[in-house]
Amino acid sequence: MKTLVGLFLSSSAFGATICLVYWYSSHDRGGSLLLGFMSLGLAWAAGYAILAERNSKIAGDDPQLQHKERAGEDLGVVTKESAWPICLAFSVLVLLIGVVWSDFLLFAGLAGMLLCFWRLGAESARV
Amino acid sequence: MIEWLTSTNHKKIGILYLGTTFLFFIVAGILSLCIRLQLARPDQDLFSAHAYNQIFTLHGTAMIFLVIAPFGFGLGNYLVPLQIGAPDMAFPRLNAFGVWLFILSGLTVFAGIFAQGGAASAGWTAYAPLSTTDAGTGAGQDLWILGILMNSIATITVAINFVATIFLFRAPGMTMWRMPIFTWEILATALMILMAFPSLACVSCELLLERHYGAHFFDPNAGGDPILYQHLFWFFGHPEVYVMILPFFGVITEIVAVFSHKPVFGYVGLVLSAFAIAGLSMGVWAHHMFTTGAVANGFFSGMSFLIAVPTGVKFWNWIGTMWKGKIELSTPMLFSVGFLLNFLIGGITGVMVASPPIDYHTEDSYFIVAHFHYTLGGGSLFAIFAAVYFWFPKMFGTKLSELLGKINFWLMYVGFNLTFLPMFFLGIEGMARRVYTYQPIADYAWLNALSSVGAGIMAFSAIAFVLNVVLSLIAKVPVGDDPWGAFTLEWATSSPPPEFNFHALPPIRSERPAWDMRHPELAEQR
Repeated sequence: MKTLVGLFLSSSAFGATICLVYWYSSHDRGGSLLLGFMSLGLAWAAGYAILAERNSKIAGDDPQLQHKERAGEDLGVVTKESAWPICLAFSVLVLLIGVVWSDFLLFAGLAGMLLCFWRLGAESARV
Repeated sequence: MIEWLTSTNHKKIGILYLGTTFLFFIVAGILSLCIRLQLARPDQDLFSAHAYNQIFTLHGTAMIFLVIAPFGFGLGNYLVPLQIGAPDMAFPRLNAFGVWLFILSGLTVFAGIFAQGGAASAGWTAYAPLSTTDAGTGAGQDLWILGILMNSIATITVAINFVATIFLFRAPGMTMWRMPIFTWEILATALMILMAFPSLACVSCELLLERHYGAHFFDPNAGGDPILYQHLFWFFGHPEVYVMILPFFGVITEIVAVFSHKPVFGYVGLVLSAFAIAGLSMGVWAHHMFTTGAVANGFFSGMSFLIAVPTGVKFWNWIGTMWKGKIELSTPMLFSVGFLLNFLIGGITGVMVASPPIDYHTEDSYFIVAHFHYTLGGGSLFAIFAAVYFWFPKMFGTKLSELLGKINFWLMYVGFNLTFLPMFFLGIEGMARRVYTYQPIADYAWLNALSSVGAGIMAFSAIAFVLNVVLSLIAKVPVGDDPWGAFTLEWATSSPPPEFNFHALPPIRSERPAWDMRHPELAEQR
């Protein structure tokens, strides 16, 4: 976790530094905003890791941990197969085609996406 | 078949990525041969100007969005969980969604061929106002934009998965500082994607809104600004160059160490240089816009020069890894050495064009075409072949033929340099890129003819590769779990690995757990 936080914080600080240098050298609002958002996003990720995940114990962070000591750790359930991801991908395609050419396809794609999200949610609840 | 359509297993998804990129590579290769046929002689009229525009647009789009970058994602999908001792990716269904959206994105881009007016023809950069008007193409350009939007969403999903898997799913003992360099490079790539690709998704949406809903983001007559398009596009576009190269830096590091029979030299330096490159690459986007006269050239030039430092660190480490090693010139190592030589030329010419005075002279000329092909073709593409030859036994339990592999390499190396080296001279002599024909002035005729001969040789090299894959899969001679004596954790399981990767994990006490497993007495001493 320490490495993760350090990585995000140092990247955020670097982003903020080049944002400032860029602003002073160009006074370009567009580019400075992009770099500012990047820096804030990284700072948010570091903040989240510090506040929300401070008590999490990740097996991989312990250099001496034996495999057997990990027994019982909840990794969640690793899904083997599901038809809904491919259906969701097709629904996104139909929705986007609808955005350009057809209201019917737009709503069909949207309905397909909602159905897929619902089924994916139901699958998650089951496991 | 159904099993492949619905699988959420990272290894199958990895192979789906790799197989799809291979098919798109064949298509993009055929398109590049069309380009070289058209340019083989002056005043050639095999293709019309409009057809030529479509061909180079599709070639560039396919190589960037559908071949080189996604090959890294496919390889990462297959290898990252194995290298860190995880049973699968953190979000398997999101992973499956990502690969199918990626496949559909490619098909959508190419569906433009059947549209009225043909496929997209505004180049892979789709600059406004070329891409916001129907002057060139109609539905083909729309399909291109939709495809790129889907591609950016798919890429963001795969990046989320990589970050979560690497941070949370490492096996006991696999601390961050014991991860293989390839996994580190994938992590740096994923973080770059999360910063850069939203910009591409955003600019694609803006193009659609401008084309169909009356928006005027890039229309100066209505208060818009075409330079805004270039800012948003290149804020994605330059990091994308590193998205296409960082995973392959990882590939080369792994292969050079294994075939030099030495540990990686300068592990920490390689990791830090990856993140330095990633960080710096987020601040260099407008070096593609020097000649607009609307950006701070000094800032972007300085930042671009700085990237040479961490890249130099990597070269230093690769040479250090080989230094006094017992170098074995198997096919993966040959391709890796080819990568080093080609990428060096691409990198040095990159430093040249990072200087605005040189860039003003070479912008939009064949010099730039040669430069980026040396980085992404001579670099990434050679590393792709190295990776296939190296990890093929892990994926399929059999090796590719060394003889055909060496034929593949030498034809590719000679063909590649014959194709792209003349382009530097063409560029310096002023030949503009993206032109469908030219007059027989200066040295244009013979340099272009030489370049086209080189492309033909590369085609034979690709045929040798396809033959190699087919014959090896038919013969399928078993080669054991680790035919190379490699170091990283994926070589400590069976080839191909079982469904959830490991029946039993060896203890992980260094960044070379597979080597430690084979040499417990030496591992203890360390």
